[in-house]
Amino acid sequence: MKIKEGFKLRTLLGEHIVTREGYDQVNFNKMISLNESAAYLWEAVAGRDFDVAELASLLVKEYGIEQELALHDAQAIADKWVEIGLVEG
Amino acid sequence: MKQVLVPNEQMLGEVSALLSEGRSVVFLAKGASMRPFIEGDADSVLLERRTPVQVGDIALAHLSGGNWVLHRVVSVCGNDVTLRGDGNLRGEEHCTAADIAGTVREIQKKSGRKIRCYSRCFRFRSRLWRLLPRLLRRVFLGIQRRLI
Repeated sequence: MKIKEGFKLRTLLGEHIVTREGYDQVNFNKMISLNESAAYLWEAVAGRDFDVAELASLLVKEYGIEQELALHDAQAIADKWVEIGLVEG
Repeated sequence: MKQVLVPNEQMLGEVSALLSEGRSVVFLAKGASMRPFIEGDADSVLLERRTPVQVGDIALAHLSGGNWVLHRVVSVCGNDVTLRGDGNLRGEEHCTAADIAGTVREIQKKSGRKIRCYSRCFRFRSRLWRLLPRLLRRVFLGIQRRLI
């Protein structure tokens, strides 16, 4: 899977916010807030293909958690990103 | 979907920074001071940086006291700009052209209808509203308040 074109992670209002920036327009009514670990994953895989296993290994590397828990969390976040249309493939 | 309420000062500071980068910004309008054209907590506004600011523009201004207003420009005299909310029967705000972060290009009504604010038609309607006697505006605003 891959993060769709046009979505950008930026720090706004002290939060990690994903905005859709088509036509150079920022819509404050449609913003997606990411927590710290989701923002870390986003930055690590932005602009390239990735899979759930890679997200899990990034979580293990950054936070030193068990592989099983990392896989569970990675699957959850990938499902969420697909559900709200942030990623494709 | 979670709604996050952000203090005006913080959000509009970010909006201003984005506008100065040349981006346009959409956000939900607040308050009743721009009735009958903009309904707070229902309509959204699309702003962009446009210079020079002109009489009749709806401008986002950072006032010297630190407050932000989204009001109609009623006069421009050199560098001095005077604003007034369409729904305010009295009271004006004063600032300089540099305090104007951006102007409203489009009002996005809750119904989905989009109003182009630079169009002749909208400018005419706005001018007509401002020319109405204060009593008539008061009556109209009172009726609108009861209907909403």
